[in-house]
Amino acid sequence: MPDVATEPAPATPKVDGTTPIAEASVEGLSIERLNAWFGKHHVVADVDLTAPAHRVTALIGPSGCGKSTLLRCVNRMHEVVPGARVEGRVMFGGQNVYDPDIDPGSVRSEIGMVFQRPNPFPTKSIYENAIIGVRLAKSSGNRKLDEIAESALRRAQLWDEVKDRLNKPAVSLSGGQQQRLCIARAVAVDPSLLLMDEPCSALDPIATFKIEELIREIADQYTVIIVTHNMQQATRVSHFTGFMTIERAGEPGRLVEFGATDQIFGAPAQAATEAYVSGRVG
Amino acid sequence: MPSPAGVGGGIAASTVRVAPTLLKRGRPRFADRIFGTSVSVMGGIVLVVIVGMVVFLVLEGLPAMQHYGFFSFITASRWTPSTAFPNVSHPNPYGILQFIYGTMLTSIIGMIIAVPLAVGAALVITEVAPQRVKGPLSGLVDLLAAVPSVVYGFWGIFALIPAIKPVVDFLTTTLGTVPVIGVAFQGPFFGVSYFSAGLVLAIMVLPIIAAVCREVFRSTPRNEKEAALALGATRWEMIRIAVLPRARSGIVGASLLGLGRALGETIAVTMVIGNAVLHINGSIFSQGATMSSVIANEFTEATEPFHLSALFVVGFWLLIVALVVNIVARLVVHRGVAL
Repeated sequence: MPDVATEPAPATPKVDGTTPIAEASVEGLSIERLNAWFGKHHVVADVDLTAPAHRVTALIGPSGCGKSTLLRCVNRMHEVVPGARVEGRVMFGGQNVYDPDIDPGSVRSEIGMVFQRPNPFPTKSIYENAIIGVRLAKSSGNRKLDEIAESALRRAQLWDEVKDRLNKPAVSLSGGQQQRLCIARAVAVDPSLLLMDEPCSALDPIATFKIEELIREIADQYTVIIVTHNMQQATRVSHFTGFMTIERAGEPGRLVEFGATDQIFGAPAQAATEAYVSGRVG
Repeated sequence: MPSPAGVGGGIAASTVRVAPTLLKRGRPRFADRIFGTSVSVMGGIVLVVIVGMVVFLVLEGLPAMQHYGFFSFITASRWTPSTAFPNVSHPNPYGILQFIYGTMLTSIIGMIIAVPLAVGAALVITEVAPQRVKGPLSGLVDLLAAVPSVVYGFWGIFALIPAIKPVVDFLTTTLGTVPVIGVAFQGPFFGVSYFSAGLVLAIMVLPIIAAVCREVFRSTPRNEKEAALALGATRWEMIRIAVLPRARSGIVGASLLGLGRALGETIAVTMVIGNAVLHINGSIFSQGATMSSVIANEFTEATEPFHLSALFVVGFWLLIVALVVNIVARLVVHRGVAL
């Protein structure tokens, strides 16, 4: 757990740091002794982590260290892969999402997810893509769908680019626009938590810049956890950073260090973190 | 560019590389020529067989076509070889409209039943069944394709027809009394019928359609399925949002492939359709015949004037119908790919 005092310094253009973190931990997310497997392969071991509310938490680490798996455990997406298994607790909104009474579908509809590659539904229009989560949740009448679509697309900073062609198929957009459409799709249902799994790794620098700007913008409304390969990205968008690694191939990934982003990159406590963030390994 | 000189160190003039020749080589190598020639011959044989088949059908059908006129076959619907005479050409006793009707009707009944079943089976195999069951289930469906059609015919007569009798009676007394569409469901039902043939066809084309659909569904990108699941979609919603819209043209293509087989299927249909050659009465429960069943049924005893030749005309039109279906299938599938 980061010390409350290690609030990130305003060196990078972040959202204002006025919300006290003490309040944040109540509505944020905490992962407790989480272990994950693919079949017999143990991929994540004993992770304890708290992502404060209305803050961006980045997960960094070398390929194969289990950071994406950890992210997918949060909204119970890990278990959709055959043979995958999870142990441990993920506390969200005062409930353990792995409680036997919990419906995985409800968890997923409460937590937004943005994937590595833009994955809009190719046969559906931009409009349909934006509101499909709302349609699935059946939480709104048709009357309000237009408003929801507009507000979601605005929040994803895509509205001005697509407002005249909402009925065009989603695949007519560029890669960066598709990814922002996916963000709009995720925020349309108004989740309190947004998971992003390397959302910029398939995008060019300009599209990446727009998405990063967007992440900073929406961080005051959402709790964001972002997995990234790009350490500069972590420093640009996140308030907190967790570093994960594996000791050697075949070992499960562990959370080595967690703290305020400036501390992780400026004064890491662990030698492994220091080696990674300074670019000597990984 | 980094100079390789530093790496080579002391090595000097002796290592100067000869520029590779970019000139055309004189003759293709021997193995290339053998390969090229042999595959051309094989490809050519296929073409010759297809063209030869059409020419053969036309040549054999020519006497009847010349005697009665090219289009008179498909405008008449009475097949009465005993009224054919060498010197009289009107009216044409070899009307085949009812066979075209029979082929279409049985195939359509078959498709109406088979397509939903096959799509469902393919969805179970790819999305719904537990991982351990998927393989064996998939194999079982494929196995249906390996059952010889004469066995399907037998099964149709002795197992299927007795079993569907109550269903037919029910339909006759309910839908059969509805105005307009009732005609299609009126009795009497003697067991052998268009409907029975359609049912047998449904089960015969099911494995083809299911196998193609299975591959189409399997090719749904994982990240699109995950996009649906991550929005909280149930398995059915995921299938509806991510799997089916993408598979639409694939399902159509698979169905047309199945239709192609249904149109040409002979033995099983001949065994359960009743082989009534005289008229079209509109009911799916009446006896009838298809283009292929009439050929199979009559060619060994085609002794009337122009009888055998007229059967070749039937074969010719069957080929035309099958070709049209194939071309439509290709167009639909290609358009689907372009989308």
